[in-house]
Amino acid sequence: MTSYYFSIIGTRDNPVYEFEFSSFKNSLAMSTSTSVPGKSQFSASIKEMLPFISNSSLDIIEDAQWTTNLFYLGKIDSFYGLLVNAFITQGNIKFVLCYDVSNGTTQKYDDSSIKQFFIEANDLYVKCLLNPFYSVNDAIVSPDFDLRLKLIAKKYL
Amino acid sequence: MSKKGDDIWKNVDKINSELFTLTYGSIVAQLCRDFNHNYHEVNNQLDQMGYNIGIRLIEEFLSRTGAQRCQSFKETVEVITKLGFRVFLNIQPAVENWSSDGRSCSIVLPEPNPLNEFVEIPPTKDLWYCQILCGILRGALQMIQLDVDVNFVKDTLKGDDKTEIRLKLNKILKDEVPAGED
Amino acid sequence: MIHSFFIFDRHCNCIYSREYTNGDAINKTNDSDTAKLLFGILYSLKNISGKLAHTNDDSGFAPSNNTLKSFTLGTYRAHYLESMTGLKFILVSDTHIDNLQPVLWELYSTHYLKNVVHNGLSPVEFLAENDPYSKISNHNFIVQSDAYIQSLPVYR
Repeated sequence: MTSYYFSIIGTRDNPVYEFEFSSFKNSLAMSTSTSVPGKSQFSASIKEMLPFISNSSLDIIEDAQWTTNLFYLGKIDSFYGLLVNAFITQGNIKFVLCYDVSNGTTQKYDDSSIKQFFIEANDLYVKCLLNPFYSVNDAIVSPDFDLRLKLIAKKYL
Repeated sequence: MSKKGDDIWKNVDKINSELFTLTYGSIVAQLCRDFNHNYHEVNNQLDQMGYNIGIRLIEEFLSRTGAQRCQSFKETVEVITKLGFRVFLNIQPAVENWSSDGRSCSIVLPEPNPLNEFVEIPPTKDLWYCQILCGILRGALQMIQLDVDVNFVKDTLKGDDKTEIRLKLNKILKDEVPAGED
Repeated sequence: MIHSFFIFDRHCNCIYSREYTNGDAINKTNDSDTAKLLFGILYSLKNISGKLAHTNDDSGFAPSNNTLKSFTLGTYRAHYLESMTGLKFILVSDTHIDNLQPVLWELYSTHYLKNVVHNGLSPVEFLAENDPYSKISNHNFIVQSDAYIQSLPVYR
């Protein structure tokens, strides 16, 4: 079962949002494990590293964004068995998804579903941006956003 | 009456609803910043803005619909919901909770409310996000000699089950008398 | 032939007056006495018409049908339209013109609406006499309503 760490990073490299979860797929098949479906399985030492891993990929994202005209930048980095995929919005907000493949060998990671996840997360982000009380780079605290993002994660990852 | 509302709605100029929603949202958000999140003051400002709109909008409404003077407050409320809201916002609120004397009632705005789309209000109990509607109703009704108290009692943005505006008819204003006559 | 055009607001002040002479020339009257007298007559007639059609309804909602539309004096006829918001539109013509209600409605629902109500910088509540905002001074309103009245077949 793959664990994911999704973060949104603002235009000033400030944290906007973070969300940790694991794949919702095959959670029944994995019923032997003691894990709660959707709960991430990162070890404590990795967990505290996650924001740093995300942020350390920013330089790579900024290089990569000029090499393509796509918003989805694909896999851009890896770090001790953690892979990092990124997406950049029109407004220069970065979406970073870190996930481990080492302990979830049964599941092959699927690039196109990650891409779909980013695209829908972007739609969701735009909706959030349309809220008149939200301004760019504010932290996203809306529980509704949490819920909807979870649904998107469930659908694609 | 609903049919008439539909017909008029078809012929009015429309604007993009997102532009409308975002414009209103920016106004409210800017007021919140300008008044340092003193939400009582924000409500007052919205109400006053609505009032200024209402005293003009009523002329537009009357000339478009050719509405005649109503015979009762019940009829007035019916015209507001079936024609007024229909023509200007393309929604038709429900009327509920008439008081026994027929002088106060509730207007329940249907979901989705075009002003509320995308909106999540700050965590406060004080802000009535759509307060401008109260001002508009108050201003418009005052121009046709009805002194009415209009205020919100429930708002889905605050987690209530519905968005409810309470109307209370205070009195019917008399025509003004020219100076020097009594 | 149309002689003059007046608008009174709900505070009984004359907010617009225009006089049309025989030829094309138009001059704005500043004779507020005429307006006051005219208003006085209309006000009394309106009260009388209301009393003649008295209803037993004491809710205060006015009867809708018995409204004053025009009255005639020897050589003049005054056509009257009151909007529900208390604006009073009056056209004074000779006695050959029977009904100017559609014209008055047009002046209200098109010209007044478009040039005064929709104009955010123009007041809709006019102030008392002698104030710069006591009258409609909107150029477009004057030009368009004049053109409209002059284009009517009954104008001359």
